[in-house]
Amino acid sequence: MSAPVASLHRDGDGTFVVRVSGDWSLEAPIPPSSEAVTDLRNEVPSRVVFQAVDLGHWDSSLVAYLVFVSEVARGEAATVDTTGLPHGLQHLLALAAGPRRPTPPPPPHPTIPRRVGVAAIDFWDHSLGLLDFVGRASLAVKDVLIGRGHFEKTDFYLLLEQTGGAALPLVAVINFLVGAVLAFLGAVQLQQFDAVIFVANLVGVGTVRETGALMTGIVMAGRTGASFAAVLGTMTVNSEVDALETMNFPPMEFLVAPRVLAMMLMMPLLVLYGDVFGMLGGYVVAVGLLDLTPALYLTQTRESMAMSDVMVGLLKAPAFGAVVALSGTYFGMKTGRTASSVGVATTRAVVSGILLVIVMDAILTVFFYAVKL
Amino acid sequence: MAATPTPPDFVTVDGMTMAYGSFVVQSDVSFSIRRGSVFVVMGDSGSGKSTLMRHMIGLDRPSKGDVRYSGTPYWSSTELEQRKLRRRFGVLFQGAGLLSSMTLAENISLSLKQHLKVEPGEAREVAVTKLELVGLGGFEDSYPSQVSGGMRNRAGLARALSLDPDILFLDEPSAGLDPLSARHLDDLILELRDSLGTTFFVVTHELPSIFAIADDAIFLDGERHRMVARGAPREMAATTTDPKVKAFLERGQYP
Repeated sequence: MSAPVASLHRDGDGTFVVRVSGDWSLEAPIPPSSEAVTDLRNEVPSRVVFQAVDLGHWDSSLVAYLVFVSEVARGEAATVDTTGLPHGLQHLLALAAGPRRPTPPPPPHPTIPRRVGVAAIDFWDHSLGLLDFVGRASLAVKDVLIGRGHFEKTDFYLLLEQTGGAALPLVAVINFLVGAVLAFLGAVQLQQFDAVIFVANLVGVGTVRETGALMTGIVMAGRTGASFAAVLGTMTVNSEVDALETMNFPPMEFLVAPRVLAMMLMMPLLVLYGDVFGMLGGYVVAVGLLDLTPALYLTQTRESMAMSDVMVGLLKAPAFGAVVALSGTYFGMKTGRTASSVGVATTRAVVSGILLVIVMDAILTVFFYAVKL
Repeated sequence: MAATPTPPDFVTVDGMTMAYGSFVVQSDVSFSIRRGSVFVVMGDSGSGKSTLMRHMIGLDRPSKGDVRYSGTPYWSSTELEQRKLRRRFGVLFQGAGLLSSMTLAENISLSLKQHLKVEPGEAREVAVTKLELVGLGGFEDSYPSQVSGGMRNRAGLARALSLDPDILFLDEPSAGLDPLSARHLDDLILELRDSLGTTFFVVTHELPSIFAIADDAIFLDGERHRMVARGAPREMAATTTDPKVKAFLERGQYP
């Protein structure tokens, strides 16, 4: 292999000659075309002549080089003579010289005010879109419940299994650990007052009123909300949603309503189950590390809690289930038509699912405080 | 539009403008389709052929204009009337759009069970028959992911046929088919047109197919964003003055 060379020189009659020789390969460095272009523009010739002398192997690297130089030459109103090149190369250059669409100007770099504006409009659009979606989903759920909407039983059972049974291990682990952390946190503080026994109150009430529902909601947003968005997103990309629509299966009834219903049904059960594991986590820490006897701890737990505490957690559960299912299905149905848009939809579903669960929790906590439950 | 032509056409598209946001895909498209004819939409890639179909079957709302089926306007009708109109459509999407969680037979019997309230066993029989019609006998229990792209396309056609629709919308039906299957599909389209009087709206750029099946056609230009030719393809090829349409139909060199 000999090195690729492009030698440039001018003939007296205003001709600019580009003579290429050596082996041109994409895998080895080639002479920069900018050199030829700069030289050419220094003094614009009337004619540009390409010549091949001792040209060995050549590939697209040479074609690209010559196309670039000849485009500049034509732009400067010079004629281009390719007859001194091998036949194959001449043909390729002729093909590349076909009509060319003018390159549209690149969009201006967004300024900060513009980016803020676009983000605000986007947020507003999504908020309105989500509200509209919640309305239509509610109507679809109502239609399904009173038996007017389309309802596929086997699909629904499958959804119940996916949103409920399949989530059990994860819900158990997370709640167990959070219960244990609560116990530690309480123990460090309560030891100062010699009141370690009240760890049972903290863990018991804290879990059933607050962390049981909240942690389960967050876990489900990451797990099931993401899966709803990915499934519906892929169905949108594959035209499956369009097909359902034209076959008169409203996607709201067929895809959204069963998912919302399944989540609202399963969430209270998952929260109840999570509560048990949360308290178990506290129990293990209290009995194992804080020298409380099992009987004492259990009695204290039972006496600290009222039925209303458990009810607060269980009332939050369907609300969390609904927001997780709604944000998952909303972003799934909003997916664009590419594979990467499924990823975007899934991310947005999880982010807003978690956000909405926490916002909903704050609202409900204040509400229950106000009604003294 | 001018005075209503006689006999009344089955489908009339009236000054339809299609846009996504501020980007106009096609403006002021008007044409009509005779009952029991095969109507083909041609055009270069990205010219809005599929978009036109989406606007006609109720998936995207036109920014101007409307489409009428036997005189009933689609977009200015109530939700209930739109449902009734859609019930008469059969649609084959690009890539088929089969539900991936169901077998081919389940995909086809879905709307049979829903709209005709037929018994499950009977629905399956119809589904199997439709699959045999498109040369997919024996594949009724396969899932869409288990068959090839061309077979999915044919299964999608079988699903579009499930309710014996008045009009079939086919988006690139022969994409991914070998020449023999493509030929078989063309024959099937003509057979259905002649025996059942089904009307076809076909988006395609397969020249052999266009000349074999089209009774009437339009050509959409993606650069000028409007309809540039109209008529039976052979006549269009003979009479058109538009260089792009001529080049397309002759598959020849651009002048």
